[in-house]
Amino acid sequence: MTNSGPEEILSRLRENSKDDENVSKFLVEIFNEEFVGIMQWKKSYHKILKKYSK
Amino acid sequence: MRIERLLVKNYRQYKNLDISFKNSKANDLHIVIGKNGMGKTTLLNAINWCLYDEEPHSAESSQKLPLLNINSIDKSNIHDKHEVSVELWVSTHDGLIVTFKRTQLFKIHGEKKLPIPQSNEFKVYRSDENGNTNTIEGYDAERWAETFVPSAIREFFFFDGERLDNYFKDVKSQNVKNQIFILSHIHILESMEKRVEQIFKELRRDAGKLNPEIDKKREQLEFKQEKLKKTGIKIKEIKKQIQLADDLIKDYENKLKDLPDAAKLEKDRQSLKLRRDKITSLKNDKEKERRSYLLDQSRKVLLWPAIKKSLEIIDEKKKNREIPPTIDKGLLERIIEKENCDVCGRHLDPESKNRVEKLLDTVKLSSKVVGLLHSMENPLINSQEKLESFRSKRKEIQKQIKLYNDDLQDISSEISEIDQKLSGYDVKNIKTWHKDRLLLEEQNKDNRISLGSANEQKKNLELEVKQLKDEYTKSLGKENKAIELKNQLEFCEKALKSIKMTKKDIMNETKTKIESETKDIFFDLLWKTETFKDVKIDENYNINLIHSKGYNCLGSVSAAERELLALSFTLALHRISGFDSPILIDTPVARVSDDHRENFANIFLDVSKNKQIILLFTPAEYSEEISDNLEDKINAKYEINLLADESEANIEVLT
Repeated sequence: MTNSGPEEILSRLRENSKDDENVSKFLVEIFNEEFVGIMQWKKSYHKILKKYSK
Repeated sequence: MRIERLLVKNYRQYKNLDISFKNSKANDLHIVIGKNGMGKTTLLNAINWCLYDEEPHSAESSQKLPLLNINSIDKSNIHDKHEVSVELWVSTHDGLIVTFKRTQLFKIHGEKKLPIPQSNEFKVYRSDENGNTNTIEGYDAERWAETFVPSAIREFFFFDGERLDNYFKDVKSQNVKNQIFILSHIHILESMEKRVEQIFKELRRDAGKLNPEIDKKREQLEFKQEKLKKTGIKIKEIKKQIQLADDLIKDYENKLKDLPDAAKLEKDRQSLKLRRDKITSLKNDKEKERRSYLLDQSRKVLLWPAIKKSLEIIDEKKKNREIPPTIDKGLLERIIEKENCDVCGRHLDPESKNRVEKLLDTVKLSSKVVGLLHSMENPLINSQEKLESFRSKRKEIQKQIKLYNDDLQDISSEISEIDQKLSGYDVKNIKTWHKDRLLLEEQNKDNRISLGSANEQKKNLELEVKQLKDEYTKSLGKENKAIELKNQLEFCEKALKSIKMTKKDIMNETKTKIESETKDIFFDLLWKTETFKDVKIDENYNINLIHSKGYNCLGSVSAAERELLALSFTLALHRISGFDSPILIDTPVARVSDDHRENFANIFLDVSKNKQIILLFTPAEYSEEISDNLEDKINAKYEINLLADESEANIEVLT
């Protein structure tokens, strides 16, 4: 969680895969999948935690 | 962001606490004083419990006690309900107030009045510019706590001062690496890498199913890649050990140099060591020269007895006048056989034949043999001369090697003598340092040999992996069905390469930023000006404090200096992370000697110009060195007091 955050990683991923546009697009898409995935599992874990900790 | 107010109800020894942290002076500094066991750490835990529902600083004994205040339990009836709550009021940069509130309901159960936890609720109240308040609950409320101080790095905001002293001792590089991982979002890249690698392996396995030959190649390739990875880890580990030992050796050398009596001995030892290394290298070169010369001359040396014997024979023949030849033995034999002279053509009568036979008896060698011996003489003499020069050259080389050996022996004796003298010092530390240094020197010698062989192994494995990869790709290309898989594999490989490069870039950037910030803060706060010259985070994420003489001296600096470095690292993480939240330290100078407490008082004043600091001192810690410097500048001083029966604590504002 640096000041620049995930945007910095995305721009680096693009920079490091600039030779192949498809690889670049693939990386950006899986990065977003991971990022959204973290939010989703946290949300669902919280729901499950609430369900069983009552 | 800063903490404006803390309200604690029924939480452990705090029955009803309301404490405000107003900021009306240049330094946003607040002091809480309390004897051990009165409730300083409970305040630290109360904040952690409120934000994250955890009490990370509890001692084992207090964990067994209920969260609910004991007096409240004692005064309860069965089935009574009590609420424990902690409320933290925080002001944001735009002047709005955010309140974090955690409430835990307890129901008193049975004769023993056991408090049974009921619902646990966490809410965030946010006021806007118009004075309206929004209530946030559940997952969104947890996220608000994360925006104040993320749980992953909270230990750098609310922590125990004792931890500062042990920071680099206990957790070492792994912790630094973890913080860099957290700050850099590396876990996302790690997860991407792991998953793409998984797909990559599955694709390889699928390709293997098409042809057993491809599968065999895949197995070989994966085996070698794994071996290469392990060798890389081994090399890193050895380098780390060498670096560590080098630093310690330099540290010991520096310590020994600083001792008045040992200084000269130490200097002599160093110059002897240098001389020893130089002569050893010269001796090794000479031995190499001897070996190659001996190899070159070995055939001639082996023939030496034969050459000698041959020359003796020739010499003897010469003395007997057999060489050079005067009579042709073959001619005499022919004359006797034919009974006719080949020279004058006359027939031999018995008397002449008898004379020729007598003459033949005196001639022992044939002309051919004599001619051969005659022609051999010069080359044999040549070889003999060369062999004689070989002996003298060999002798000369051996003499030089012997001289080197003698020198080395003398130097070793002198070093041993110095070692003996140094060991004989009546100072326990010198003996230990000296002994440790010798052990480390030995250890490094072995480590350098291991490193050389591991590097060699890595180089060979890299070549093997490259070759196997080419072979694998070639076998894939032969199989029509595998072409699609081959494309996917190549794509995965490119993607993995980019992920790894990005991971490395981001890690290095964050590491460099933290290193530079830590250095700036440390030197800005440090009271010494000449002793240290740099702060470095090495490739293994060890924090190194570089002495002005160039070596890492973190292991030997005072507790105060070590604590300052840990504090600087913590403040650097604050800056890099962008979470400019307050800092709360329990027992901040417990390990710092009286001499350095004044320095620390000044450091707290300096940092509190831009950041809220809440310090929880014991009365002994809040000594003159601290109080004389802080007293006029602090915003408020609070004291924790216990009620007469010692069951409850309260906080009184002193100034």
